Amino acid sequence: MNETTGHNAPTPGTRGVTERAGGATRPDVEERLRQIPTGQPGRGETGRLTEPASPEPRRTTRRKLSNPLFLVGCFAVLNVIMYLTIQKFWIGGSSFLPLIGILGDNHGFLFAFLVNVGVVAGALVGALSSGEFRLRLPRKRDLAKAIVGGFLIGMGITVAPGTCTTAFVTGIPMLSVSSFLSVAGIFIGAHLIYGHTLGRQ
Amino acid sequence: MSFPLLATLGVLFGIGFGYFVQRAGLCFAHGLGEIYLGRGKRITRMFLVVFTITSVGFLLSGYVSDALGLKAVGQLRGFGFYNVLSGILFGAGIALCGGCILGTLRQLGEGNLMYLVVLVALIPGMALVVYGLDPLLEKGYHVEKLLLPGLLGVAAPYVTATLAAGAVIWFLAIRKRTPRTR
Repeated sequence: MNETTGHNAPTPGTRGVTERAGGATRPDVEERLRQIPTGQPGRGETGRLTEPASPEPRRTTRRKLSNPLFLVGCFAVLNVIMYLTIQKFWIGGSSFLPLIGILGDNHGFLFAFLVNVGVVAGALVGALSSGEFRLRLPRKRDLAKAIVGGFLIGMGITVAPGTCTTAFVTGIPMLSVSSFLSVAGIFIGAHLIYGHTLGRQ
Repeated sequence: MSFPLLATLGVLFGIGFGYFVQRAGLCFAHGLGEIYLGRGKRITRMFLVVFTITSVGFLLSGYVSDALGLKAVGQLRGFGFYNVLSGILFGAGIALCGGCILGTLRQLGEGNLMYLVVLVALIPGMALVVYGLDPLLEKGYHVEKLLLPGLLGVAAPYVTATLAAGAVIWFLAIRKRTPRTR
């Protein structure tokens, strides 16, 4: 039995309030509710203690909209819309070829590079809006991995442009044979590294 | 369409991609990690969603591509051993630095400057291949752009429908079973 309130369980009408009050005791909550003007959430027109204006439908909708699978679905739909409207696909690795002076036919790689500049901007917007943005400097012990990893990625994306990350997003859904071969290689490469590092652990 | 307009639209699409990727936390390198460490199927589920929607979308768009004047899907570079070689190099790279291209861009947008180092490190790798190895690899390139239906000799709708149905079944089989909370 709860010694403070004298109840075994929260009273149905104030259950949600008590839970959201961060473990505050019932008298504390009632005192706070008395300070809320009549008609405000948590206080009915008659002044009686009530369940706060139910945020459940809004919260459920928000939860659905922030479901990662829903968001990934939006990403996939946007990929198809981009193809249908401007006849382009999202391209990963090859988009960085302008960094070594290769712009591609009709500036195709430059276009892909600009799309990926937009990806960084979009991720920044998402991170800022969700409070996940945090400026982090690279740790010294991770620098070697980042440099060697980046160098290998640079080689990989250039040996066969359009078949690395692009394979997962665009190539395999297109049923491109080159992408299936590339993904097989990705698993082999990852296996070599994970097998080595996990073996050492 | 003029290039400045195309580029503007591209950046806008990119912002949309980046927002969705960031909010979803998508990174295929993490997916590989999940598989090798045997922890969760989060990215696998995401990939199955992307695959199902995009493959069906591309298939359906094929029916209107002529009318809209779209180029056919599958215009990726031809296939050959170098696809496997590129995958091995890429797979090792993303396993080392912990981010695929999408994941690298996403983490950079989230303020992780280690991935700026990764992006800078791409430059010498790309330059080595383009200016050093490419002339050698060019001889081994198979330039035919081949799609799976062409390889199997089966019409694209049957292949896409079969694979999409398989992806849905796989998705349902591994979906997260969370207890309902009231």
